[in-house]
Amino acid sequence: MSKLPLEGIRIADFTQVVQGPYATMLMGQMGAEVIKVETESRTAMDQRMAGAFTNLNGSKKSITINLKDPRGADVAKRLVKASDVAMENFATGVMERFGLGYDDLRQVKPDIIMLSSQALGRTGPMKDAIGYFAEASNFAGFSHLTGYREGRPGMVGAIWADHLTGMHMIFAILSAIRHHRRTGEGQYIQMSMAETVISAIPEAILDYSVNGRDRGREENLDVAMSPHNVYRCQGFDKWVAIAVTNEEEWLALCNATGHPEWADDPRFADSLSRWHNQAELDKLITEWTLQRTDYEAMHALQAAGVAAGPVLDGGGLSDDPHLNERGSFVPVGVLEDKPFSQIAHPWRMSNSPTPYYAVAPSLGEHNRHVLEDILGMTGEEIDLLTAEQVLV
Amino acid sequence: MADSALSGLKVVELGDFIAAPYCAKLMADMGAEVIKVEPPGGDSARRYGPFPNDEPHPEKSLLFAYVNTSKKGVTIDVGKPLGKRVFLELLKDADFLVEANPPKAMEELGLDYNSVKGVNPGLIVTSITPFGQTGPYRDYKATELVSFHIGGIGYPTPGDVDNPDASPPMKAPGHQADIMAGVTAAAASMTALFAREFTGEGQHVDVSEQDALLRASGNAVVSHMHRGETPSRIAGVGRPIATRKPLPTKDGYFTAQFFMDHFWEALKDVLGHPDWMEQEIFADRMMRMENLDVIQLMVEEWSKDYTREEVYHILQVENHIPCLPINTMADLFVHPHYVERGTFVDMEHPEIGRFQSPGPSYRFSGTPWNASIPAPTLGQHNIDIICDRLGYSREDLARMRRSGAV
Repeated sequence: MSKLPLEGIRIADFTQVVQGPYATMLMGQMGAEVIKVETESRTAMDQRMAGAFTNLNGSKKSITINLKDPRGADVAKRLVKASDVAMENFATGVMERFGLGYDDLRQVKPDIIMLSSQALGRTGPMKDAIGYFAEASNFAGFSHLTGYREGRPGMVGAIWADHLTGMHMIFAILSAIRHHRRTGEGQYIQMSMAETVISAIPEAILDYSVNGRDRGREENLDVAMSPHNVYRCQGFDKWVAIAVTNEEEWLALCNATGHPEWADDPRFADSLSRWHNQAELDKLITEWTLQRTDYEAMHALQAAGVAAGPVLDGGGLSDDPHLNERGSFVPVGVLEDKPFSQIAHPWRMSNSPTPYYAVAPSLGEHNRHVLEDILGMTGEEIDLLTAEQVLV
Repeated sequence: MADSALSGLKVVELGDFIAAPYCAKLMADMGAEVIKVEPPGGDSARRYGPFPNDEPHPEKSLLFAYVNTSKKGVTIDVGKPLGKRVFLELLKDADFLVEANPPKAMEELGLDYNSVKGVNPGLIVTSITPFGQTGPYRDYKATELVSFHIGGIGYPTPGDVDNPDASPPMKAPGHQADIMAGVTAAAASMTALFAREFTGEGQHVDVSEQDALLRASGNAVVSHMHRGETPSRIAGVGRPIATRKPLPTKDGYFTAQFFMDHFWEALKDVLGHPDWMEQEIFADRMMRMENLDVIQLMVEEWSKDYTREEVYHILQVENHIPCLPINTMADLFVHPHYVERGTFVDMEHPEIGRFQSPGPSYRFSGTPWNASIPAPTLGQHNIDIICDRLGYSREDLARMRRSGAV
């Protein structure tokens, strides 16, 4: 019980914005030693607003290195030499310009595991394109499928592509470390956020690939299930999601809503009839949901064995009794004079210690510790490089 | 090529549809041996399309074919004593059980973690459920729609809405909650493997879809906790997370990021330094974010006279502004970038034939990724696994079949 699963793994973290920082933070919570390499001039990318920054950079150490200075790049190489993993998500070619590309890092640490992730990857005619989650989702066809049927495409209201890519990164890195432990070999892992998104929408991709059909935007509807939608409840902009997957659940819904007669209505008699008449059915269900709060509707339907749940916003998540009872918000300290709760690690382990939670480090907080204790630099060396704007 | 990264690892999958199968697919394509256990009636993804030419057939579901590559398939009814016995024998030398069943059902079957660890103390059991193994909703049901919305991603989707009653919260395309839960479970399973190196023991890993989505909703939660703002799909309410609005061109849409200092300066060059860009309301990054609707409206006036390709070229290639076109399905398969990268791989399936499918989410220089072994047909490996591996005779297998256990 004493050790966290990833203890002993050191990650030189050159990533920024969301996907990379998210991945390394989760590995830090699992015990990896994550050393975030930052530069004063780059902080705007990471939105050093306290809450948002800790949300993606807790459980790490921070050192500042000006990578554009060859002496800074040299310090970075020493860090990589002392690490098991190096990760970066600069635009294609930036690490090479710093002299920190895979071929450079392999010289100082032949068995390094390096991961690079770019919006569209490091090869192909558009390898230099820069973009964030929205742009990667566009290029993957995902945005085309998002939103309302009429009008423009829409955007998923979360930094979805980054979190999805970040989670794939963790699986990729841990797979590579497993290989390293068996063979002593490192390797280079390349990712493209757009391709990760493509791999996550197989239904639409394969329907086009095989049938030549572009599904377009399916909104909240399912290809076969009905009822299957979100329904207005009491209160401003409150909704409950309801999905009926079979006849047994359909009868349960009719009874739970006090409308056993719906089951005998020829418009709703079987799943196919319901699917074709779902607009009318949704109106009837809305008459029931409008009399209730989103949570009342959920509990009533779940008690009858029907899948239902409130549509939660940021505040709704924070207040959700289930998430709170599961310990999904963890107090980690004080930020800007307010107590701060970190969102819990996304999985629970029965036989490992509690994840390591800590607020995000301040810029360069661990310069001395990392440079002296890990890289063996002397105090004079550090003072000189700091004075000459290399370690900032 | 060297050994696969996960070769030598054994995974037993007792899930259904997408989340658990996707987790096990990620591991299988990376070289783990995955034995997929289906009920004799088959995985529900076999009944869920799309199907070639819309002809439903249990061996032709494209979704099933995609999330079950590189696996061996056996049919076992774990609800029957004999089926349970065979299933437990499979677990004896497995490293992982990846399962996605209601916690109560696993307890009733005697297959919950505490029951199966006696068979194999090193076994890592990764359970994927809508709400996790604890808490008041533990036994509640969910589907993709419910998980997505109770995970907080649907409320602010798709943004830029004027009348919220007429424009409800939207789920994302496909099965994003299931996919996210699946890859989370794969990362979690690998983490537990490292823990086993310290302890020699397996453990129970609890993956809740709601928790996995909560993490991806992090910015909304932080925004609420720290600024009292809740991001919303309603225009002008809360600070949006997805700040970009798709803007029109002659032949489709694109998005671009304009509010960062250097992108804003580049945009001035593109638009020829018009007076409106010098107004006080666009003086800094935060103010530009606040007034993004105005900026986007003005850019739209400019972009509507160009094609997507022209807009991409002017903004991204010439002026280094993050900008990419919104591709349709038809654009993807012929795009020179994807063609040159080999983004889509050829799959050869005995019933479906040859088709193009999404390739890997990562490319490893030293170890292979291989999804060329097609998803198993129903019970395809019953003889290989139950007879050749576990040592039952063909006659016994026939007896099991007759009893409905396999």
